[in-house]
Amino acid sequence: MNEEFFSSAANVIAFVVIFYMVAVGIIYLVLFLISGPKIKREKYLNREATIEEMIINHDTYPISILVPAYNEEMGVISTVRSLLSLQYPQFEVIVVDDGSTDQTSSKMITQFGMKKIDIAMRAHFPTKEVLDVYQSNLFPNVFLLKKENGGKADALNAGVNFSKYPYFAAIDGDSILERDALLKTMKPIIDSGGMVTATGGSVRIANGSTISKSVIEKLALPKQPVAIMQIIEYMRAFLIGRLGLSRMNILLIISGAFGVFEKSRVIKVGGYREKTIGEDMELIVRIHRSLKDEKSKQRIEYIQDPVCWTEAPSTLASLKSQRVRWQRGLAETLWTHRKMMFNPKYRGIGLFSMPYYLVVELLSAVFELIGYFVIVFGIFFGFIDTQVALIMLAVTVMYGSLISSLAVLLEEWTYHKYPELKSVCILFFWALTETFWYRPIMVVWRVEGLLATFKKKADWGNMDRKGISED
Amino acid sequence: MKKILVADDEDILRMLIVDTLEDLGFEIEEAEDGQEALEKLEEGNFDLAILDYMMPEKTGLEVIQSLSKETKNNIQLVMLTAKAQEQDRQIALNAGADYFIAKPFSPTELSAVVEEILA
Amino acid sequence: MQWVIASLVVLLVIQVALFIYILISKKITLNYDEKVETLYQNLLPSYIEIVQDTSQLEPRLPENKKYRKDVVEKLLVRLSEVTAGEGEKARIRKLAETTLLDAYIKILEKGSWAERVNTLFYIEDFGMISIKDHVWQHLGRVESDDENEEYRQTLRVLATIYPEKFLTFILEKDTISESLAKELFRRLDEGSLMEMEKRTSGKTPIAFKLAFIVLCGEMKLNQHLPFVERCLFDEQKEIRLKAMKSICSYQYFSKTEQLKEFFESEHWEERMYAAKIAGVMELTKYRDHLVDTLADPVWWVRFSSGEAISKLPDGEILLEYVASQNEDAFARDMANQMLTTKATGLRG
Repeated sequence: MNEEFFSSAANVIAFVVIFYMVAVGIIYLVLFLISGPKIKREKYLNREATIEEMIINHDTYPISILVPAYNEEMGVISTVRSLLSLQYPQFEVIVVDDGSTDQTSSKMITQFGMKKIDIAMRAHFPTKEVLDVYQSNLFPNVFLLKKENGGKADALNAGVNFSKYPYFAAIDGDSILERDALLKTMKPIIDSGGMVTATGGSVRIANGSTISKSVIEKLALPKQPVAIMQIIEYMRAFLIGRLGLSRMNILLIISGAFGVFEKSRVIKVGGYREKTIGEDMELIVRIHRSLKDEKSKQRIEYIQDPVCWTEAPSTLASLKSQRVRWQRGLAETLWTHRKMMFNPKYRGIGLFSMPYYLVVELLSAVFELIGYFVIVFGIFFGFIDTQVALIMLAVTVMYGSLISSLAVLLEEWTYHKYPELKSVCILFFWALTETFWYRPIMVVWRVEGLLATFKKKADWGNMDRKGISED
Repeated sequence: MKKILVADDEDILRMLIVDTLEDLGFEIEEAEDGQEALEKLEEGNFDLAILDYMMPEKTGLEVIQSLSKETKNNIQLVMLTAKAQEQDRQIALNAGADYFIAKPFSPTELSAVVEEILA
Repeated sequence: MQWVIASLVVLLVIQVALFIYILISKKITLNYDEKVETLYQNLLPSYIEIVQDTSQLEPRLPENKKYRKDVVEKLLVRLSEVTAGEGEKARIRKLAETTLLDAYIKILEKGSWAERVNTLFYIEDFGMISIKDHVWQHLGRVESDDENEEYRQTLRVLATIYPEKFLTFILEKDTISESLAKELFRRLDEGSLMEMEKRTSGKTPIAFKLAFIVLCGEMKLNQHLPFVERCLFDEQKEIRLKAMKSICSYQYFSKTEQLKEFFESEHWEERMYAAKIAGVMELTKYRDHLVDTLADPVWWVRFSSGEAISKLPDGEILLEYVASQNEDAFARDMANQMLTTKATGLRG
């Protein structure tokens, strides 16, 4: 009796999970069908030609680049140096030292010959106190703000307060921008005459490739399978997911690793929100919300060009903390803005992307975890039909690898693809193995992340800020 | 004969410049990146160096900054910058470049500038 | 059960097919690119000589039409990127017109979207005037949407190589974004610009006027300065502001005594531009006005006033005086900032 009950309950669960996976697979396919044609159409487009004009155009708005830094003495100098080699008519670099306990500030000061200046700062938002402001003697467009520790969002807000240009780019300390990144990301804003209020581009994983001074010298796949899997994940997330959502104007994330924002819009919505983990996603949701609330025609756009490279975590421990953090960030943002969920007032955002992020991005971990249990227990203990378990296994493999191979196809249509034939084989091979090792690990960590959200560990203020946030 | 170093990572630019200047009867050496440029400048007695602002290994700016005082005093430095990078120009001049030429450039203009500097 | 297996098999087949497709097409592309690169390297020295006019000898080009078009295109694109001399440009144009014309006409008619857009860019880069009628016809085929790159580029090409037709077309349009209009006007020759000024009237869409006014300043077109000065006193605020912006770029205008009323304007933008103009033209007679606007309620006005004062001959002393003596805290702060910050703004 008992056994029978278990068995039929398990079978029902199994079918629910199978149904879920097929549904998600179909959503991905639809997104692929939306983003694919655009990528295909622009496959042979000469992108350098399309941005040439911007370099001499006086309407290419100047940009402030904000670099929040907390204990980044190792990387901050090279980050700023590579920013200085960006191709753009006019920009300023603002490093915000968020109360580092290491030599971040003093390294900046000696390397760039900085001296203290007095600034009549406008306070669009309250932040922790800004102690000192420095300007470089050598590069008059490089500034350093020294402030009391207040977290990444607080640092970015202080940067926005100080910045003097109408648009700003927020970048992570460890991301490397391509030389024409600013031009490419600003292009939609300028072409639309300001109708685009925020943009972001694809983020690619730098592991394995050689990049120096914002120029990619050699493109190659990394050796570690963990890093290769993340490359596939990024292709999937950016080329299928984000591009698809962006084309429907319901994109909810501009990567924290690199995004460009219209300052007045960000000021209007109140800046970055402190005490949240996914501050980049949260801001975008708030911008969407304000656009819809005031029935503005402005939009948020994503460009498929890879413009930003980032070092992906190559150890399991750092990967784990990254994923737990993302999951928490996503959960918090969705919770904060839960009123938008299924709210027809917010159109596609409320009716599609919020539920999409909830069901596909956030809760997939739960469904998949159940799925793995069903497969393992079903097969070993015979709770469920072996056939059902096998179908589920097959669906899982397909679900992962078919979408991945479609992503590889799209990647082949963009530029900056890996130059060797071998890389396609490697990517395909690892995409096939995903279900058996990478996905289960991710699933477990993401469920941990979910649980952590409920527990709300009290470590917001000085959270681990290593690695990239939210892709 | 006056000696000129042309440092640029793009072969087409190097070839064009060398082509133009050789016709004027200068002795020319080439470097493909900043490091090579720096080494050559410290060894050979150059009268003039044409440095690209953006080069691998060391940028034109870094080359100027790493030059020894002695070399710096005995050489004229011309920086090649992209047309619109006004900021770069100012920075290059601050750092000790004597002239700059914007890319794309006109070979006639280049020869005129070089002849004037070395006259 | 069977249909499940069947659909799984189908999915598997799709995936294998996809894999093979990617592999083969990648191989083909790689081989092709490599071949073009080799051809390019071999031909580069002789093309440099032709473009520099040190040799007239045309090198042998590959027989295959596609290779020939791609390699010549690559050579000329690279060469036009690095050379700016008139003679060089003319020779590049001639080379393009002898080898690429037929291929380009065909692409405009039958090519894919990306090919057409690329080609339109190259036509402009090489200044291929002889293709102008085909581009004019092409305009009729393109979807006229401001954000369509192909439409934008077709207009750019026409403004460059066929200004007569372009002007007639554009003046009859009623919508076009200001920034695109500027891009287009920037390409016009002197005669067409004068024509443009003459033809602007009450009916001209305001975006055109605004674009034209600002552009005159950016390009410092002196013959249009009187026009811009007239716009300073237009009844529409938008036009007045653009005219002020334009004057900032000219760094000159003839009736400086009229600046006074702008310092007292109710619109903060006018006060800001008044300060900017006083700064770029180093108008010492407005120093008292500038000290007043240094305490303006709007940050931008204060900032521009500070910058303007620091540009005056005795600006530094004046700022030091304000920083220590002025009764307004805003003014003191701004003066302090100006005294310690190096100027970074290269353009207003």
